[in-house]
Amino acid sequence: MVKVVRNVVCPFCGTLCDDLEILVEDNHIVGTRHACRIGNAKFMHFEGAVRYTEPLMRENKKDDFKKVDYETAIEETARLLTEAALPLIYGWSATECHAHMYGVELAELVGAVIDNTASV
Amino acid sequence: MQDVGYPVCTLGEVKNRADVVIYWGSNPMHAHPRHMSRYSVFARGFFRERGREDRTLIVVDPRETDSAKLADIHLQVEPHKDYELISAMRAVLKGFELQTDKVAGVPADLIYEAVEICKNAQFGQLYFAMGVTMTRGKHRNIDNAISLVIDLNAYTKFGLMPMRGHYNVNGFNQVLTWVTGYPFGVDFSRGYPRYNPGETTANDLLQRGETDMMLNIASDPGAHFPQKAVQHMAKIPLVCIDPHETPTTQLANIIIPPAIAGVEVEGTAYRMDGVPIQLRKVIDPPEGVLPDREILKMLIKKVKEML
Repeated sequence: MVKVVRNVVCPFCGTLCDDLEILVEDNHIVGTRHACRIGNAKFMHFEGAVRYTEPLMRENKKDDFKKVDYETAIEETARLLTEAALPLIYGWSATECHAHMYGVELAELVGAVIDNTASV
Repeated sequence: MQDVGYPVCTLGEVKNRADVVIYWGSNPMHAHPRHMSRYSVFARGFFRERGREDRTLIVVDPRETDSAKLADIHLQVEPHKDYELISAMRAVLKGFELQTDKVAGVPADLIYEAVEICKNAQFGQLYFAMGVTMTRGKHRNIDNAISLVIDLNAYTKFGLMPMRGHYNVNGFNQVLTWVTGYPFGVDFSRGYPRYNPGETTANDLLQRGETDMMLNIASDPGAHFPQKAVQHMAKIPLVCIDPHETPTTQLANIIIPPAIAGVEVEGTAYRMDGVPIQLRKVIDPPEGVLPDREILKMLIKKVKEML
């Protein structure tokens, strides 16, 4: 059965429209109402998009990726962050504010430069 | 921006009050498709009951975009000459006469007309975007635009707002300012926050090759950064926290997939006018996939063990 989730906030552009209705069936989004074309695309799984569901790792950038668990990927990332002379932590504009908070804490811990897309 | 301050209002104020709206270097019809209809131009507001008919729309863009086609006045500025046009408008506003027929490719008559409209507005709003910040002059264009808005406030009420691309650009600036005092480009390498755009900003660090490791989260610099910056990204260890395959993840050594905020996890985001809005969770994430914040918490824990 199709369930309608009302007053959904659109996580695409800075207009942050908060009147979307999302049609959900069996934990899959099957349609949107009130969303613009870009917003609709964000909710619908559009063809050609590759979604990662497991962490991937490779030593050399020319190699193929190998599946690993979160523990391993995070431990290796932590090692890279602590061993680097000047790590750069960049992005942030397409996630929520609690993640930002932890991001700033992480940047302070490893002495990184932290920046987001506003600087470009 | 920090040099001149920044006059803001909410989108609701624009909707209810603005009778003059300027889009400078942005094309909302394509980049923010519902912006004009919900908040600025077509929306019917408390003091603007007739919506579009009660408002004058000015678009500044070198191209005749779909937004420009809707405008009452289209100032077709030559590329990279925004600073000149802003300066000309400020000069006209201060009562000077333009000594040429055209400034930055815009006929002087049209500049006089536009300034007159702005001056006589009851409530004006200037939206600017990458078209201004990414052309020659960069943030100095914004300084000048802010100065124009300040000058206009001698005659009427005028506000200014950046058109945010991603949905939570503003949220990060809010959080970082709250924690460190600076909105972006903060360098912790000396143990305390330091902010110097051009020096401590991502693109510059990459282009100069000063960073030796990059963690990218919730953005796609591989598709948007200049080639020289991307070339350096390809050389150094790169970790991506991103749900989807992007040009950036293709350069990565490690990819950590998060649940999608606003679709699979709830959270807070700040709208372009600084209003915080609670994001909703619509569906469950794929089994075992963690939110960004959980991934970062685990990272912090691991880093603390290693330090």
